[in-house]
Amino acid sequence: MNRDRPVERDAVISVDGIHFQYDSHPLFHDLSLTVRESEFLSVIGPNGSGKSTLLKLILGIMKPSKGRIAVFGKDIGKMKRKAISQLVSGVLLDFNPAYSFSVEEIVAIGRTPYAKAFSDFTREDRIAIEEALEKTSLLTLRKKPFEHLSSGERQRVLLAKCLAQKTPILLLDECVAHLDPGHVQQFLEVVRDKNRKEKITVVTVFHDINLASLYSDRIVVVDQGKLSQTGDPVEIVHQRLLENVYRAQATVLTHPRFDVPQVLLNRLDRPQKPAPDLIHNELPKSKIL
Amino acid sequence: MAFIFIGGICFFLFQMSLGTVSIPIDEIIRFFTFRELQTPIYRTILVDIRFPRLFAGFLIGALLSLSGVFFQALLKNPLADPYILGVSSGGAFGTVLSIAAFGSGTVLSRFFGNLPLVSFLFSLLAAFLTYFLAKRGKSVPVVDLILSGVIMNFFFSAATTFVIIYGWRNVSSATFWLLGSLSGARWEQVPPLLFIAGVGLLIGFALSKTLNAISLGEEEAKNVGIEVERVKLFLFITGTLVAAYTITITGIVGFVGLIIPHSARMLVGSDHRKSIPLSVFLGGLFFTGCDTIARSLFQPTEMPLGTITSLIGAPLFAVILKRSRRFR
Repeated sequence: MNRDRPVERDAVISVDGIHFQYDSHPLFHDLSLTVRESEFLSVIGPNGSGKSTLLKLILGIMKPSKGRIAVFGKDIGKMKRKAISQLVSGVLLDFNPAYSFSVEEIVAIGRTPYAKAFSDFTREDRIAIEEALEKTSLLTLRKKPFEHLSSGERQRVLLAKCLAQKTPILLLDECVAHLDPGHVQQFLEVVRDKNRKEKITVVTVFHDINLASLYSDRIVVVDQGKLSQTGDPVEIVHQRLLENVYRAQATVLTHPRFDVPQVLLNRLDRPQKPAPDLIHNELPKSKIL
Repeated sequence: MAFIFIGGICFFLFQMSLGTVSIPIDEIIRFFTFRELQTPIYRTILVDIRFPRLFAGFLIGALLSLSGVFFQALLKNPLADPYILGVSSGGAFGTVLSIAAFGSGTVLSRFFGNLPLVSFLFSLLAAFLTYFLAKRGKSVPVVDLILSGVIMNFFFSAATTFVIIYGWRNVSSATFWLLGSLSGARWEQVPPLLFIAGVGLLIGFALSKTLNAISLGEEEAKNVGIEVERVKLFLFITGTLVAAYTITITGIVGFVGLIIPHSARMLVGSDHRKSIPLSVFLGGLFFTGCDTIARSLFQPTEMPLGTITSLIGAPLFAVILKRSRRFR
């Protein structure tokens, strides 16, 4: 592991040599990661590599057995949960409320970190809720029960809840995994817009390498409980990544309009044609951690 | 909301006229406008018999329903009620043990003679055992809590049956506790109940937003800054104390703490800021309503209250369930 990595001054999240295990099954061994201010960072890696766990550790939902996670230089292990939730919010998998809530009610729960006992929502709360609903195009659906929404709309509600939470850091766990292209684009554009205009730092777990490549400033690859590589999409997304990390045969092309690598899977039961012109075969310059 | 509230108060007043002796409505109006009653004995009946029973009943129903709200938020399970974690069967066992041992001439009979205290302690014992059975290190997983509650309920129910069959003296008095009754209500029970209900309601209001967050799931609640395990412990303790206290007065009255919070949610949605006040109010109304039926329709005897709450509650709940699109 890279122990003498220079301390980055604009680090908003620093994960420092953490260890984590589920029961006795080790997941992370001495993992470190730095997230810079207002960057859009994607975490990719095969199933079971611990991507979601990494996000939950940063959110403080789970605790590392060793090592330290700091947000804006403060150790979250020593912070009150309320204080953490004013800095980091997250859209998690498996959102399943026990009772029926309306869209508006769920988004309002994003204001809980600022709530005082007995007080109604303040003007500030209401403005934050309105803005979040508007940003995610949910104004017309606000009274609808959450369980009546489509999955695309549901994900937007969860995003709106995090936006209402007004945190400088936003963590997203495979938020667009089951959505159609229209909803995927709408969702990610909202996030990108927040990231660009309000300098919100975004860390997102992606299954879809193409989306990670298209939207991120930087990608980290988590494999077998370790951060195996980090770099910008052009460096990371390469045929070798597909072969070594995902054990998949693929053709990696350069997006003709955005100059980022895009992955096409190969069929293994048919003869291949020669590689086309757009093939992305620049050698990866990525730092091997 | 206003309609429910006004309707509820009228219903409450109407119940004052019903009972072994039915008192005409105009006599009740006379009473409340400080005029002389045509039949003076009605005043005694109202003040000494009806009022304590109605007020205590309303408060107990309200508390059971509040406790139900807490348990449903704690366990995130629609089947949760104040009795799910063993409070009721523990209390029942304590009561039965108390009755069986009372007057047996042993040293223990003095302690066991204090029926409310014994019932209360055994309720707490059962809940305490449930909690520690479910505890895993620093956290208490909800599924383990429910399963432990099932174990405790089975164990104490069996133990109750055992005591009834083995050492039995007074069967009818056991039915009274196992199925609940308000006939033991007295004026002196009203002030402490009022105090507990007041404190409970304040806690409910203070925790409304927290309960909303926790209803989304434990990780989501942590995500918005809730100290989940601490809140769970607090809900567990307050819900248990409240339920155990009501059992010492009325015995076990099922269904109220289960269906009233659900009904309130179906009427105004799951936001606890609205559903808690409504649950508390409906709980009180439902409880006194059922008690009025229990005491006036089956003269000269009384039907056990728990029987009425279930007989009326089940169909009522079915109707609300069918009509409400919001319920899942």
